[in-house]
Amino acid sequence: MLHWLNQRFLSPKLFYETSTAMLPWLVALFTLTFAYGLIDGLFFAPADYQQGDGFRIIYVHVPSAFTAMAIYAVMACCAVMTLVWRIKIAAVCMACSAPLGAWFTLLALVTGSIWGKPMWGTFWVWDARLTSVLILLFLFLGFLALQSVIIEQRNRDRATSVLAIIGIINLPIIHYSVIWWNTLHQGPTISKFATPSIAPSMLYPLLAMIAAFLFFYVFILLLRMRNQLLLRDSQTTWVKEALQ
Amino acid sequence: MSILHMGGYGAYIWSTYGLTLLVFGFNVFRAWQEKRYVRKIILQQIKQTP
Amino acid sequence: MKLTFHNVTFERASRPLFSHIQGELQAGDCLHIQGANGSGKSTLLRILAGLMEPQAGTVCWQGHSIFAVRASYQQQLHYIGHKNGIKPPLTTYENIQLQCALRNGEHTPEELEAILKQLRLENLRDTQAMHLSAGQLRRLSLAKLLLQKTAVWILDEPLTALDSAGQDYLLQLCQEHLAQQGILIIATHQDLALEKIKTVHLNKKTVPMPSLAVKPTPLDEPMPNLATLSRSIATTFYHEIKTILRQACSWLTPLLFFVIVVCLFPLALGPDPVLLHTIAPGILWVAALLATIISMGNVFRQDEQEGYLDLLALSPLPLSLLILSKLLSHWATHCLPFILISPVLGALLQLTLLQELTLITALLLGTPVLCLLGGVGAALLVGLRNHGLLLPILIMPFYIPVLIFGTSALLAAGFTQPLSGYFAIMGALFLLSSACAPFLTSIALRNGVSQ
Repeated sequence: MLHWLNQRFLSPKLFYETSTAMLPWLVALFTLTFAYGLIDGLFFAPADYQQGDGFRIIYVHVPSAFTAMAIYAVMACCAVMTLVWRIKIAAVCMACSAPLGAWFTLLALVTGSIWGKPMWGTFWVWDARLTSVLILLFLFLGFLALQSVIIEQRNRDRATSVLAIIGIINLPIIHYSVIWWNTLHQGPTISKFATPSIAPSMLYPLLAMIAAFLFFYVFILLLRMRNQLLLRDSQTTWVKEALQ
Repeated sequence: MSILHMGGYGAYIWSTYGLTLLVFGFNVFRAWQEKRYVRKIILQQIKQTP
Repeated sequence: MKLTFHNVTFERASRPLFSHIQGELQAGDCLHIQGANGSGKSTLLRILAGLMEPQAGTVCWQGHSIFAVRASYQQQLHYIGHKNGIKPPLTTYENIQLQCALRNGEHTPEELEAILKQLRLENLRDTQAMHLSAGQLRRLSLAKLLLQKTAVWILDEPLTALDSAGQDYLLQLCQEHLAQQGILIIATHQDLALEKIKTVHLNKKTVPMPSLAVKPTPLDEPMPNLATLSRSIATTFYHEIKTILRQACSWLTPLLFFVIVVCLFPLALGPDPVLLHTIAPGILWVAALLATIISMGNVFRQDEQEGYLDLLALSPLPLSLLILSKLLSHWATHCLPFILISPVLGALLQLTLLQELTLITALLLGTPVLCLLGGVGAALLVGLRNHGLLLPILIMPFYIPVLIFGTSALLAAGFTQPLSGYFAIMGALFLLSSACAPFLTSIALRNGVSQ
């Protein structure tokens, strides 16, 4: 299995060929899960007892936040692979994931605050979750800033990897300190954004949407990685063949 | 109409879903734009170095 | 004793600078690298020294890749680049002391004075290096060749700025080095009256000689002598402190910045004592964060300009320890002053006595974490021009836990609640960052040096 992964993904040329085969499947999977999640979530899942129809925003907010955090985890793994084993594909994956991560984080923040308006009466609450997502956005933007400043590609890969690793070490610490800060200042009352125990008819569309967002991430990631690999290897023969 | 109204939350729900679709569409567009740009650059390079 | 390089290729901006350079050097060999400006001589020398990595190919010392046996190779290597690797605020004698410490050497003061005399710098012994001429600085950079006998010398345009007496002296040193079975790699435009054995013309891309497969011979790892190591690190720390203190502007400014920022808040929000008492923890901590992160922007700047970072990267001493000593000296000179003055400002903001004591303790525990994290950020930005506010943007999100626990400690002190938990957590953050940050900083520094 590991050998198969090694063979399939570590060489840029093989990665390009494998991803060409994978792309149609990803589109199909995305369409299926997104359609199901959208339709079921918007129209067929029963309205929530407390929040009425407003809770349906969960079907875009939670997948966005989940995908954003998954992207950061992927970037951190790629960072370790870049620094320790010098795997070029990992560096490309990390570089291409960063803007996507920023987009999903921003989407999570905006949908979260739009959800907040009818629920809490205000567009922003400094609760632990939203604040953590805001800090995650800063981490992504910082990564993008560093990426844009360094010109030499190898140095850029290594420097951004170091930044990603600092980030992943700090992320749990920041998250827990923000949770703690939140309880300290709000007192023992339960946060108004309490997650209710969720009924299956509400859960399945949510899982489907999470899967759909992840498929979309992988789809765009592969597209962008292919472009970057073509650019990085532009002097080699396989690129010339691939483009003819 | 009840679909648009969504029990009073219509504006919020549709704006969030609309933003999501916008973000998705924008990313697809950027990926496609990048692909065209990369092809153009590399084909130019190939022509330059015979 | 063999230094071999095989198939070395380097590209810049996707264009090959040189490719498939190979050779084998034995004891007593001299390699003269020639080529026009921009042909990549300095890059090749830096690759051979281990400061940069080639795109393809390997450099081997005694059959082992130089990255695998980094400590042993660096112990046996002297590299002199374009820049002199000196600290301008230190005197000539102090610079030589520092060079000695960086090489983990032991020299009596008499030996150092003798070296000064050999370099014709004895009359400039106590002059600060910033007042020396280019030629005198070049001679100073040659001091390390005399401090320690190593097997390999890599010299990049060493004759520039030297007068004819200096040039003759250096060539004489080179000849002695070769006679003592050393390896010399030198890049210069001039013709050398040495017994040249091998030449590489980078423009013509000639392949001088086939390199033979070398079986790795066992290398004795340099024995870590704890006493010498700690003395060397202590010396570097002492010299770093001296360097910073002699440039009053660099370490007094964070102090003034801290004071001004704290004073801006009452001006902005009104002098109501109750309000100030409530927001004082936040003001003091945010000001401390800002003062620290702004001072961290300069921690490696002068070293980078003078080529001192190359010396750090090539030193036999562990780079993490050197970084720790540097960051500690930075903390002691930049953060400690405003920590000591913070109670005065706390009084201006109506803090209670317990809060004042908590403030000092919390800052003492928290600011080292800020310096360590800032150090990683500064190392990431080595080699970049005009990055402006990039360092704060990168690193300030990581300051948030320290900020949260520091301010909470002060708030709790205001209500006379138990404080040990906060100090425990901040202590844990300090231990975690002092374990991880120097290592990550050394990776980032080596990356920055290789640009």
